[in-house]
Amino acid sequence: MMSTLHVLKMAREKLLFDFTSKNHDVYLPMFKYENQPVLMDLAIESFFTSWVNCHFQLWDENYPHQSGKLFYSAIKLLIQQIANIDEINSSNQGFYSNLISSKIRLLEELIQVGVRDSEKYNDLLLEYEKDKVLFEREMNRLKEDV
Amino acid sequence: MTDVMTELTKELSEFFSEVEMDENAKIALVQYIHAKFGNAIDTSFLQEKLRILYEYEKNYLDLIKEYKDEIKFAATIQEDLRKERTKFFSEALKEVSATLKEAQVDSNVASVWIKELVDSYTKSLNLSSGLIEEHTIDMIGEIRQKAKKEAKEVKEKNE
Repeated sequence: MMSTLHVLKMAREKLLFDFTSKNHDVYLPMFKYENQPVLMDLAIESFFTSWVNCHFQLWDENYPHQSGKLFYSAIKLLIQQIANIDEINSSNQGFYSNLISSKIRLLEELIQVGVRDSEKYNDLLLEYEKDKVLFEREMNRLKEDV
Repeated sequence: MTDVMTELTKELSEFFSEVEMDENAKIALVQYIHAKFGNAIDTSFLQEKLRILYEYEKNYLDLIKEYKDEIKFAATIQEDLRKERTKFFSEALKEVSATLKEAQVDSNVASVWIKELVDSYTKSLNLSSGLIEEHTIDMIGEIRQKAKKEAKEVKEKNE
């Protein structure tokens, strides 16, 4: 439990630091999409999805030899709460809903397997790498629509 | 027969000697009182009860001692979390707000981002708090199980 609590705390510190240190990922979209609320919303979702993803990076850096069943369960819960799955499903945000759902599905599989050295874990890491690209694609698509 | 029990029989016999009633009925009555209430005033019986009670209590105390550090630790991390939550709302958010203002971010845009920051940060805090609570509940369950097991052992030993 302590390792999971530690990673959650480190991620919270990082989140605050990103805001107080004027991190580009936070501040750039604030100016860039000031008058485009749809793109701004997407940029916010992209940033906070990256923040959730950073938990895995912190876990890998600090606890490389722990299987982390509790950690996966905790992050699954965090994703569900932050993404507010019910709201997403009801508002029909297909892109974001798919992105979150596939991640939760992978996490559930990982919780069942319980070990990190599995194919599922690699799938999850790939999923996180994909997030940025998918968000960028969606932004470009929306820009074209605008 | 213990001293107290002998004394009780003597007292009862003296009392009934002054009462006008059938001798056999007197003996039956003394024997009945003796059987029914004898144990309640028998000190050795009471001592035995107290010894068993003490054994139960001692086991509970030993269990609490065994888990003392863990109980203390759970309380400390929960307290740390409460402090972090307070600090976030009383200091960190002010700092974030000042940084956004200094960077000349539009106030409406800043509000939207701050709302998301508060939302995600508090959800992470709540998740941590939930994990600690879950751990504490598990620990209490473990203590209860052990206490139950030890109480059963004390009972069996004294039967």
